[in-house]
Amino acid sequence: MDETTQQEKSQANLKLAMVLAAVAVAMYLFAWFKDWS
Amino acid sequence: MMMTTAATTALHENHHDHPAGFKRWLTTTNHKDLGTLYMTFALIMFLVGGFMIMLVRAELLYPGLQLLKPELYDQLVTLHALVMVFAAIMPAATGLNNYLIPLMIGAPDMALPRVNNWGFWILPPAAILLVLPFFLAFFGVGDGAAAGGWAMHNSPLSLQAGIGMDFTILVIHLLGISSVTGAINVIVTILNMRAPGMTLMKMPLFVWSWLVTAILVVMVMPVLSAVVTMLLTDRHFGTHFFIASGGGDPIMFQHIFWFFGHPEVYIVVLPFWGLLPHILSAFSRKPVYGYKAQVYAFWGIAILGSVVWAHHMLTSGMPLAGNLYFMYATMSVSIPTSVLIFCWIATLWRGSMTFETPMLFALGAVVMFGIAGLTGLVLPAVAANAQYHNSYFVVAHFHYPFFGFAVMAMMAATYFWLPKFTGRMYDEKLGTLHFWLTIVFFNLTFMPQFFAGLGGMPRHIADYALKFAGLNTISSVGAFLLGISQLLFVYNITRCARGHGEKATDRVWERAEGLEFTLPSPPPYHTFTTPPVVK
Repeated sequence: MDETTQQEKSQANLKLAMVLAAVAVAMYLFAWFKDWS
Repeated sequence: MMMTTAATTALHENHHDHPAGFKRWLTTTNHKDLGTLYMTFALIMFLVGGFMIMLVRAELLYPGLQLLKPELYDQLVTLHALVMVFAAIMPAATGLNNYLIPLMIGAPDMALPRVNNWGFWILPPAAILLVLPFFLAFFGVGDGAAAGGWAMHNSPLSLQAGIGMDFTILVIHLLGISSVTGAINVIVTILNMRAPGMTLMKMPLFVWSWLVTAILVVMVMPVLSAVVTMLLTDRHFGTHFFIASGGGDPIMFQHIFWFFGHPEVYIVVLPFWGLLPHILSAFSRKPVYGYKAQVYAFWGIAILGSVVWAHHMLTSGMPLAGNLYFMYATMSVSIPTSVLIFCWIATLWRGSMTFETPMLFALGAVVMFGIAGLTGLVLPAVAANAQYHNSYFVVAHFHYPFFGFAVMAMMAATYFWLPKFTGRMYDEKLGTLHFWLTIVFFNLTFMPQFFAGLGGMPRHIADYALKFAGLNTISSVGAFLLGISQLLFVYNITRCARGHGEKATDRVWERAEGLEFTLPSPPPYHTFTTPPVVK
């Protein structure tokens, strides 16, 4: 795999990882703010 | 195949581009190294957690208090549960995914290798911190480890407990970071790193099951972190989330905990549902039956499993409509799980079956899963739950999916892929003996607990009424023998890891399918740097 493709792939991996991390943080906040009663 | 071998031979020359010894294991970002570390750690913690419960069963051998004070007993039960779930079963499944997913989808490594290293190395300190308060108490520091059970249900106890609970809260945050980063890594790897031609619906079922598991982890592990942060602020910073006298609601703790806790059951078993078809198919010499049905069943179970959490709380005083909803929703989970079981049986049907150790463990796991499912069907029945709730029936029930299914499926997977990992065949006779001892002693341990529970024996007690003496003695003897039998497993693994035993072929098993079996046994340090083309 050439270097440009490798870099593009790493960027795509990082972007998806950041989106998933944001989902995890959102779930943490959901547990705090949901009205569980 | 030719291309793969040539490429990997060339890569053998790069085998020494990484440090050796302890530094290698500390700094490694290689998925095979990290998979090995995870699985080794899981095996060690399986023995630690097992030793804890031996002490508990020794106490329960006869009525009356013999060995342990009740507070020590409670700590050991709690630690056993936390260690087994978070430090043994989950890391074992994570180790398998680390080692196998890149090989199965033709990727050179996991998508985020450094995060992968970090995820693993959080675990050993977390495990030490979890058990540390137990030992500190012997030196007069603190009052022992957490003792309220793994669900920390007893909220006054969780609120008033000593430093053990603070250690547990810290450890749960650490484990949450480790699990969530690991899950993110799995999702990114599966979605972005597949070899050309490896479409989603061509992925092996183990990879599918892990994709679903990882999504569940990202969705629910943060909820566990949130509830223990709230517990922390209640304990030390004057909030009243769960303190009724301050306007809080103790039951809310249970809702939030089980919102995580029930999907957690599926997080534990889903990866093993995914790996079982690989083994059943190889040893019945037939393709997997109902591939698509199994994929959809994984999703169905994940979705349904996320909306049934309060069946753990049917006696907590919810409105009848709530109880009925959670009863029917829980029972409906049996539909997709039955789809899985029927697909497994159909895979075996009229196959040319042979019964090597992985197949024995896989079949044992299927039968044990049947018992787990059937006893799980009666528990959410609202009318009956009042009798079952908090009884030993529940203890017996959840050990069937956790040990009877997940641990036995992990053993099946270990025997199935160990020759691939180490390049050596295990001792078949010892493996077969290990299977028969495990399944007999497992049932000897847990079957009597169903009857003790039905007879009214509550869980989490160090002493019990005289009428339960016989059942508990049988259960304890079974537990000791089950524990000792596992030494055969440790011996067989160690033997292969040290390079003893017959050499394994690349294919290992006559009808083993998958990209990992196109590689040499053991696979070279770097694999699939040139992606294979999947047709």
